[in-house]
Amino acid sequence: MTSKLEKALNDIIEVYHKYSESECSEDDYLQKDEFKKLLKKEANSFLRCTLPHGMEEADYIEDLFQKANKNKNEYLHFEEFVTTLAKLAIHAHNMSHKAVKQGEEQGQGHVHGPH
Amino acid sequence: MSQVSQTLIKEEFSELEKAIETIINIFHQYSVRIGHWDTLAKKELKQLIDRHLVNFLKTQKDHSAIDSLFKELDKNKDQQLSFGEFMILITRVTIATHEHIHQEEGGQQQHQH
Repeated sequence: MTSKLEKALNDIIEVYHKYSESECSEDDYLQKDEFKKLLKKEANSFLRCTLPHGMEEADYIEDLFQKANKNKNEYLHFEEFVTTLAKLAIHAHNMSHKAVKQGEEQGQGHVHGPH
Repeated sequence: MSQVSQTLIKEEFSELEKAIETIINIFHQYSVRIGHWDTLAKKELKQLIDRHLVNFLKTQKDHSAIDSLFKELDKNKDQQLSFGEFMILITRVTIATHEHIHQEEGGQQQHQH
């Protein structure tokens, strides 16, 4: 049986395919437009949380695309995309502790699961 | 947190965000057990893999494989994996799974998801 974690990894691949196979191009790559759409629709709260101070969201997405696009072509393949995903996850992980710290300061204590 | 507000937050999350949340939650479930609460000791990594990545990492069941995997992921050699180091494993497993999906599809006539 697929575990919860394995299901999460399958879901990530499914989300990627939803956009890589969108109307822009029916292949297994993410064009810049598809990457933008994916982040805006699927990672909006993470985008908002991690947006560098004073930076426009469009510039931030462009920056993420350029950093992921290691071979500097027009699109991302899955391996390039997951580097962005890892970044989002690491930010989210750090934010989860920031939120907890604020909670602790207000005397709410630290709660880890069951989630 | 009350049941209601938890439900609200879950509904706001996209599929991708829920998946990332699952990865973080499972990491924490194991990282709190031994040593530093926010890092994985080798034993914790083994427990996590045995329980949660058993289908995706079938070859990792023997001890020496876990040893070398841990050594490889522990970039700063502090005998524990930070979340960032753990994400290298997750990234790798996800890439392999993605490749596997397409290999399986290669045998079929139509490319469908």
